[in-house]
Amino acid sequence: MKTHHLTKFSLGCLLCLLTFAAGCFVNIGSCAMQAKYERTVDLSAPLSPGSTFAAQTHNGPITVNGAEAGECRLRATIAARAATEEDAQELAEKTEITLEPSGDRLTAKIDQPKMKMNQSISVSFDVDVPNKTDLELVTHNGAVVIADITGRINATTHNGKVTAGNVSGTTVLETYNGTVDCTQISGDAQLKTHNGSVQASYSQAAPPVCDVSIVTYNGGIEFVAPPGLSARVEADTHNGSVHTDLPVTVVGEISKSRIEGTIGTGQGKLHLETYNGSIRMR
Amino acid sequence: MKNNHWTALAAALCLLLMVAGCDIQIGDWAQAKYDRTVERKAPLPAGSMLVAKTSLGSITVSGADVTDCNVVAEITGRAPTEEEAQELAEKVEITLETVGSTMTVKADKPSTRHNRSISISYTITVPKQTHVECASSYGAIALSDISGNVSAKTSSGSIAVENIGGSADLDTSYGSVKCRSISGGNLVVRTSSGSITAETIKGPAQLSTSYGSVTCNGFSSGDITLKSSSGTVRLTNASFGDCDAHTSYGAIEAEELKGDSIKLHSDSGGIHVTNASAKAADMSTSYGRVTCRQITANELTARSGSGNLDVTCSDAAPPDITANLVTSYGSIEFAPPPGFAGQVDLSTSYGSIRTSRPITTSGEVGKKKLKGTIGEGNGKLLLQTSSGSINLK
Repeated sequence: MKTHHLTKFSLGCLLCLLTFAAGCFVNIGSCAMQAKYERTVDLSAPLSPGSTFAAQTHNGPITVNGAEAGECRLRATIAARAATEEDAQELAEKTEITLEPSGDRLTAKIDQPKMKMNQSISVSFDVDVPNKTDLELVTHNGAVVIADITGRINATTHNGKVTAGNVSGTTVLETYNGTVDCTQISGDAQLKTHNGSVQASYSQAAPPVCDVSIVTYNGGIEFVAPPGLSARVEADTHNGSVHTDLPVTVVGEISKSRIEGTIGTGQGKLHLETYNGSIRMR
Repeated sequence: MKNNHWTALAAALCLLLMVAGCDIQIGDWAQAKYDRTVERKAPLPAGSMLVAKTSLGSITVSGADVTDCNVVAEITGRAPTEEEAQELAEKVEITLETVGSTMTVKADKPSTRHNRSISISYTITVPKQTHVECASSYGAIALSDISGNVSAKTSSGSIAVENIGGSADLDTSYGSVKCRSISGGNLVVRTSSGSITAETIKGPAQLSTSYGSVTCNGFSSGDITLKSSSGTVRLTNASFGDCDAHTSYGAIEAEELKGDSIKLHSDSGGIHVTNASAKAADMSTSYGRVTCRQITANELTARSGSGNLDVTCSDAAPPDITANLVTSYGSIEFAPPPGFAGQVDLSTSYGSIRTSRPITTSGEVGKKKLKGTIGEGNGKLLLQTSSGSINLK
C-alpha cells in the first residue's frame, strides 16, 4: 500500500519537473532569438525580354511579376534575427544582395555572413521582370508567387505554397508542403506537391493541345481544361474518386480510382495523379 | 400366446396368396381372342369428309389416287371362351354411312359384359382430297398423304401425321405426336404427356405438351407457339411471323430463325440461340444462362433471374440496336453490332466493368457504373447485373 503511494508521488514529481523544464526551454528559445532587424534593398538591372531571371533563397518567399519593362526591378527584404538587436542589425547589414548578369541571364545573389547559433537571416524577393522572361526560382521555406509571365518557369519550394497566375509557356512548379494554385495557364505544365492540393485552371485563350502533369501525394486535384482540350488522359487516385465534366472516351477495365482514355482527338497529354484525394476535371 | 401370433400370420399369408391367385385368374378369364377382318368400300367424292371413330383400336388413314373409300376393319373379340369371343366379333357390323358430303365409318357392336371386349382397328384408304376426322379412346392414329384438313384425337396413343395439304388438329392425352410435311394451314398439337416432333411445317403452328419435349425443324410462314410444361423446346430452320416458345422446366434451343418477333422463355432452364433474325427478340429465363450467337434484331432483350448472359450480334444487326441485358446473378458478355453508335449504360453492384468499345463518359467515374456514348447514333445499350462482371466486346 505504501509502495503504491510512493509510486504515485514519484510520478507527480516527475510531471512537475518536466513541466518546469519545458517552460524553461520555451523561455530559452524566445530569449535567444527575440531581436529582429529588417532592411530592404532595391536593385535594378537591364533585362531584355527572352532572358532568364534566377533567384534562390533559403528562408523567404519569392514573388515575381511580369511587366512591360526592359529591366529587372528587385526589392529584397532582409530580416535578421539574433539574441540582441545589435547582432540582428549587424547580420542584416552584412547581408548583401546583388544582381549579377551573365549573358542573357540575370541572377539575384545573396551573400550573407556566417551565423552563430540561434541566429538567422531570411531574404524575400519581390521582383518585376519583363513579361517574356524565363524564371528559375528556388526557396526552401517560403511561398512562391508568379504572375503575368510568358516563358519557361521553374519554381521550387519545400515549405510553402506556389501560386501562379496568367502564365504561359512551360510551367514547372513544385513544393513539398503546400498547395499549388495556378490560374490562367497556357501551354505545358508540370505541377507537383507532396502534401497539398493542386488547382490548375487554363485560360480560355490557351491552345487545346498541351502536356500537363499534376501530381500530389496527399491532396485533391482540380483541373480546368482549355477550350477544346485534346489529350490522352490518365487520372489516378488511390484513395478518392474521379469526376469528369469533360467527356472522356474510355476503353478497357473501368476502375473507381482510375480513368484512362482520350479527350477530343487525344493529341496532348493529361496526367493527374494523387494518392489520397479526389480528382475533378472540368 | 406365441402360438396365436404364428396362427394369425399364417392365416394372413394364406389370404394374400388366395387373393393373388384370384387376381391372376381374373386376368386369365379374358384370354380367348377371335380376329376377323371386314372390308367396306364406297365412292367418296373429292372434298368430302371422312369420320372414323373407335373406342379401342388404332386408325390409319392414307390418301391415294382413288375415288372410293376403302375400309379394312380388324375386329378382335376377347372373352373367357373362344366361342364367346367369336360371337362378339361376329356380331360387329361395319357400315359406311354418307350424309351430305360426310361419310362416317360406323361400327355396330353388341354390348359387352364384364371381362369381354371388342377392339376395332381401321386401315382406311381415301382419295387424297378428303378431309379426315378420326378419334380413338385407346389407340394410335396415323394419317398420311391427304390434301384436306385432318383432325385426330386419342385419349391414349401416339399420333403420326405425314404429308398433309390442309390444316391439322391433333390431340392426345397420353402419347407422342409426330408431324411431317404439313403445308396447308394451321397446325394444332396438344398432348398431356408425350413428346412432340414436327418437321417441314408450312403455316401457323401451336404445339403444346405438359410433359415432354417439343422438337421442330423446317417451319415456314405463320406464327409459331411452342409450349412445354416440362421439357426441352428445340426449334431449328424456321421462318415465321411471331414465334413464342415457353417451357416451365427445360432448356430452349433455337437455330436459324427468321421472323418478325422471337420470344423465348424458360422458367427454369437455359436459352441457346444461334443465327436468329427478327425485329424484336426477347429471351428470358428465371434460372439459367442465355447464350445467343449471331443474332440480328432491332430490339433485343435478354434476361435471367440467375444466370450468365452471353450475346453476340451479327454483322447484319442494325447499328442503332436497342438492347437490354439484365441479370440478377451472373455475368454479362455482349458484342453489339460492329458499327454500334448510341447511349451505353453499364452497371454492376458486385463485379467489374470492361469495354473494348470506346465509350465517351462524363461525371463520376466508378467501377460499378459506366454511362456514356459510343459514337453518334440512336442505339441504346443497357447491361445490368446485381452480381457479376460486364464485358462489352
